[in-house]
Amino acid sequence: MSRPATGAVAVTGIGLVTAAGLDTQTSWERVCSGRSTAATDPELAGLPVDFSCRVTGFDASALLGPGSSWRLDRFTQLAIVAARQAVADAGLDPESWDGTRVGVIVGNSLGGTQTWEQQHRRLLEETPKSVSPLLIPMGMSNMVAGHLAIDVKAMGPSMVTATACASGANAIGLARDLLRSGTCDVVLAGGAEAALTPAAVTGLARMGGLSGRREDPAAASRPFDAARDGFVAAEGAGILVLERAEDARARGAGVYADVIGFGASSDAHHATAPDPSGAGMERALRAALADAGVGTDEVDHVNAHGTSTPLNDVTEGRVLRRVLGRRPLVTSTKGVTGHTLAAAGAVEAAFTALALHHQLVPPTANLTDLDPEIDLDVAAGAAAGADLEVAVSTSLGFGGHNAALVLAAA
Amino acid sequence: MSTVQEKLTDLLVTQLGVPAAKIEPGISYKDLALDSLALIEFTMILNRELGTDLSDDLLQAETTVAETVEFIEAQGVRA
Repeated sequence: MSRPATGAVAVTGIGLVTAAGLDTQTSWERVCSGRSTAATDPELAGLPVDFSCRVTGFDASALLGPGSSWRLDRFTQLAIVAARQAVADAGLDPESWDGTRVGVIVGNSLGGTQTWEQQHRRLLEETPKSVSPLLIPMGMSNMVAGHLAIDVKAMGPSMVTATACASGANAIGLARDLLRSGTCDVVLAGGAEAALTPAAVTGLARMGGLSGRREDPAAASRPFDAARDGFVAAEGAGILVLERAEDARARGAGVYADVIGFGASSDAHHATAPDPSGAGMERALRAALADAGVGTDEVDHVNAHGTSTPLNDVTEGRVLRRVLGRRPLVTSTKGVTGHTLAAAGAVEAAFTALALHHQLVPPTANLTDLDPEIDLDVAAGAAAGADLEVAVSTSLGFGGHNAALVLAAA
Repeated sequence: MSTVQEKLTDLLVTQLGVPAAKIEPGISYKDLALDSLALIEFTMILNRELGTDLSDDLLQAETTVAETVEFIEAQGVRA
């Protein structure tokens, strides 16, 4: 393998707040257990789809302080907690670092849906004077990056990538470029989404995107399985601390894995349906491998987008089969976590880095009967130890956004 | 029966997360670290919880807790 000597960026810290756990270790262990987190959701009672993968036990007031938490929508709360975990994990200290060299790039798609929906209800049921002056600062998508920058005193570029379910992957790709160009020395990159609100989830259901398996939510997210019928909406945040690979080694940082390639493309086909040919995804994947200097037969593991929708999984399966010469061990951690939308690319990049770090591939939850249309080696059952050098994480978003990351064992 | 001051203190603590120990009659909202948006939010909370009709621009950074109690009591509210 011809890994580039320069240009790689190291993952030196990981923070995760997901339905699988309130921190990285707990989330990873749950993902490796292969037990889905999907459950009936009281917040969605009475709606056509009334189950989700919700983060439970998250006490924003205790974690962020009672004076701050009420001013933040949930997607920002989740992101700040994940970011603090990631920075501490990287052994960095915002009190002493040169914040002008630190950037923040976070994927988000739907903004503060909880805030928007609550305040809209007040407007309709009460009067304009009942609408909070914090509606806009809590509801805006970019505020997750703004608040993270405030929280960790990051004064370099901060922004949100909004490419739907590819947002988190695009954030990592952009962060890598900021490090490569020398604009930043450290970038907090990731994604956050908390849109398990009645209107947002019902909108997803009305699109036909969600599983309708109300009678058995725990079996609903089943990527690549023949009986899959849609994805399970989830919330969560994943933040990675990225540094140039050589800088990370020079300061003696622990490195989970290196991001060695990134590729992105657009389908230019349809607003929400993936191009059935998979040509756009294929371009992103090939671009990422070329960027990494990795051959198509050198990939050991893929953390697939694998949403559990009929259309995505078969299209993605064809592309992975067509492009990757060897038969890598594929998984979709969405079987356990559900689909965290804009956070997914970051959460799954984190799981990919952890797979390389632990040399362990998590199973795809609920995969009992591989769709005969999908010719892949998909991990199922128990987490499998494996000899992993190179891994890929793929992300595809409404709008035809495609992104692929290539990571290598440290 | 709780006084207006007690009710106001309770709302600052439970709704806005202000540390109870910092709240005293003479302290201003600036010293309680509440910015202008938080003060509009607090005004909304007072109107909802106490039935007052305080205007959005009544509470300013220099306004004190004691002055706020006076505004509320001037509207005939005795908590």
